[in-house]
Amino acid sequence: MMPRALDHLLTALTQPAAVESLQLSDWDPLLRVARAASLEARLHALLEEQGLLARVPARPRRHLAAAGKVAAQQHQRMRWEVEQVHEALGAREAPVVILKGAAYLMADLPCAPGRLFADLDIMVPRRALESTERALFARGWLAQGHDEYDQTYYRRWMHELPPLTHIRRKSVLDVHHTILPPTARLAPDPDKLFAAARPLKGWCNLLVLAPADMVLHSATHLFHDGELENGLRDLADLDALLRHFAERDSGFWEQLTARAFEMDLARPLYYALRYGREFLATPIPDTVYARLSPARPATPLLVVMDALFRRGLKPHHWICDGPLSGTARWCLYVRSHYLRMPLRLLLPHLVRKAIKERRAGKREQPDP
Amino acid sequence: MAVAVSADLPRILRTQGAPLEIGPFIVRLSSRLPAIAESIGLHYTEQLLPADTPFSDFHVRLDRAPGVRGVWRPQARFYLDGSSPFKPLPLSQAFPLFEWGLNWCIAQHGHHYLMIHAAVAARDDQALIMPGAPGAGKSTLVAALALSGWRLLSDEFALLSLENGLLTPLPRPVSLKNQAIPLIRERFPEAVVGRSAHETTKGTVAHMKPPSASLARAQAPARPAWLVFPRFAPGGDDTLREMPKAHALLTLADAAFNYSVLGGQGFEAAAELVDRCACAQLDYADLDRSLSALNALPDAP
Amino acid sequence: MVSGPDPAAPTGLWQTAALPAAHIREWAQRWVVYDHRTGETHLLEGAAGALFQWLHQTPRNQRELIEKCIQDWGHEVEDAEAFIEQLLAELRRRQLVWERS
Repeated sequence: MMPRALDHLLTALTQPAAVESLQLSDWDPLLRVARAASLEARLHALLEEQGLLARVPARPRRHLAAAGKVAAQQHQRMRWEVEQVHEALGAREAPVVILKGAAYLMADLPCAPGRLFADLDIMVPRRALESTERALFARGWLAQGHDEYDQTYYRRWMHELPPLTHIRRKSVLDVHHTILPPTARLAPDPDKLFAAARPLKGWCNLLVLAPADMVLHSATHLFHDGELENGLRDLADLDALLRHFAERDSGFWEQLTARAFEMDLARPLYYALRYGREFLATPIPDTVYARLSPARPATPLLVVMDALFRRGLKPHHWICDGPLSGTARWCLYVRSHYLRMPLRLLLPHLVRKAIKERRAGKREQPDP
Repeated sequence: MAVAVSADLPRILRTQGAPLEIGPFIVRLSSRLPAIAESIGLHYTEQLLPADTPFSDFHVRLDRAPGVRGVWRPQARFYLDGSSPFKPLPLSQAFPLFEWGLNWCIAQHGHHYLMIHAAVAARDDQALIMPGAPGAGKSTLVAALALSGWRLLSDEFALLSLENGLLTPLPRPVSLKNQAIPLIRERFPEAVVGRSAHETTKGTVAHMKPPSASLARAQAPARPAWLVFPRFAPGGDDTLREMPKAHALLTLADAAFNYSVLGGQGFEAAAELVDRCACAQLDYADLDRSLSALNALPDAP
Repeated sequence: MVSGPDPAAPTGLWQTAALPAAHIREWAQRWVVYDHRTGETHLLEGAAGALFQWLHQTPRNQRELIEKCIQDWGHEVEDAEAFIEQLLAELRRRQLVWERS
């Protein structure tokens, strides 16, 4: 059962014109749920694109516009960050792939308008990881604010650099060399990702993932190793990407499914399509389902996953919560970590994280 | 369309929440705390809207913090739409916590304005904006101005419209701190000042209710005329010294909550404001002397 | 360092970041510049502001800047050179100008 406010939000995201029938009293819970899902600015962008903002009553419209401004500013900052990364790394031989939200923005994809994001994620070949860290260090990015445990955790188990913070701008840069940690149970080959990546127009040596890989990365992040705090937002990204790529290339679905099996990522793609269709009516041809059927979980597991994802993907707001929402989120959290690393590493890590979070909880903002 | 305050207020606060019309914002406040009901009854009665108001900008709840600690050290927590962004404070500070929490809500969401951390008062709809760090004396000065014929627009926020450059009032209780409390009480016996909360992070705090004349014109914008940067300077001479506009603009940018969110639009609005206003610094030491300096500000052309 | 502007020296063109005119305000020889790319607001006083303003009108090479500096501010040749270099270095550090080679 979808709460009314969530129903309104999903309808507004897929058929923006439907907002015309909303009452002022509908907008109140709708905006609160949208905000919890980080989708308020996205909704603003959709309504603006379609010239529907004027149909929104003044008070909710002000909130939408305010969210739109926050997003616009983040986009401005993000473009500058990409420019700075380009200055630091563009002249080298090693390619730099821009990932996730920043890639949507730089490649001008339809899920970018109103998309909120914080950090910049890039991927470089493993062999170039060390020289990348040095080149970034020279431009003011350093690994800071992480204790020794975190540093070891990243470098040893994730084979990744810890997040880098720019000393002056305080912006955070995540440098990856693959899209899943090497300890994870799925192991897509990064060389294939680099080989298929598309150059970003107007930039030397900056790339974005090929369409199929971009979808697979997003799906993997959401349904395999990610935490679902912005689950619905990420599902909306996937929905927009799928619609966009399928419309522009009639061979897209076939490439996508073939690539999913090739990269060992068919299961997360299966989930992405299943819940995309369920929540956002993503138009997926039946043939695609048929082709993905080997990746479909066995029925008992699928029943469990349905129970978890149908709850976990809803915005984390009490209006959307049912009695089992908290439990579902907790199960998904543990699952995401379990899929990321072997149990012998996972248990001590979760315990440490739990203790640290409790301590951090005691250091909340002291004062408004 | 304020409703007459009723004995019902505590019940409304406990159940569906009381919608308060605070300048351009509607805040639906719920609370089971008697201290909140008392303070809302004192400060906000004119701003109470009917309970079935269809849309609220902020859904705020103030209640006892859960946990066993509450048995021997009861604390109040501020919730914005179910999430609690701040540490709890002692129960006796529940009302200041509401006011501080509301500042945070507005600063996080009111991006249709350039929001400047400043006290604002108006004379004949010409506004005086006083940005200032905590302790600069802006609350004391604005309280005194509001009690001497000026209209109170705000104690904490200058809400500058990005469309027309006018200031929107946000009349709320003025937060008086420490020595300012007896100072205002003695100098202006007619001031309505609520209960003092002691040992807050800002020392002793008491809130002064905005004069009714200011509340009655809560929807009437004012045109910015003077930008005065007060700074508490014991031994200062309470005179206004002209401030270079470029410096005023940089200080103003620092004092704006959402300057970085608004980007170029925020810069343009701030630059226009500085350009249009007379800009001055005030070394504030003595209330009466500073008050006469401000009263003597020449009308804008 | 050569003494005096050497007409044969290969100098690149200096130009400012592409900022809208509305984001450059001047009051009494003090310039406030807003850079929407970085979100930073810069106060440029006196010569630094004037130099930025010239460059914003049109890109110039270092020699032109030095000549203008000698003409407008009455600097000696050697002073002017060092002065312009210092100003340019400061403006470049703030990412407000760059040299197109």
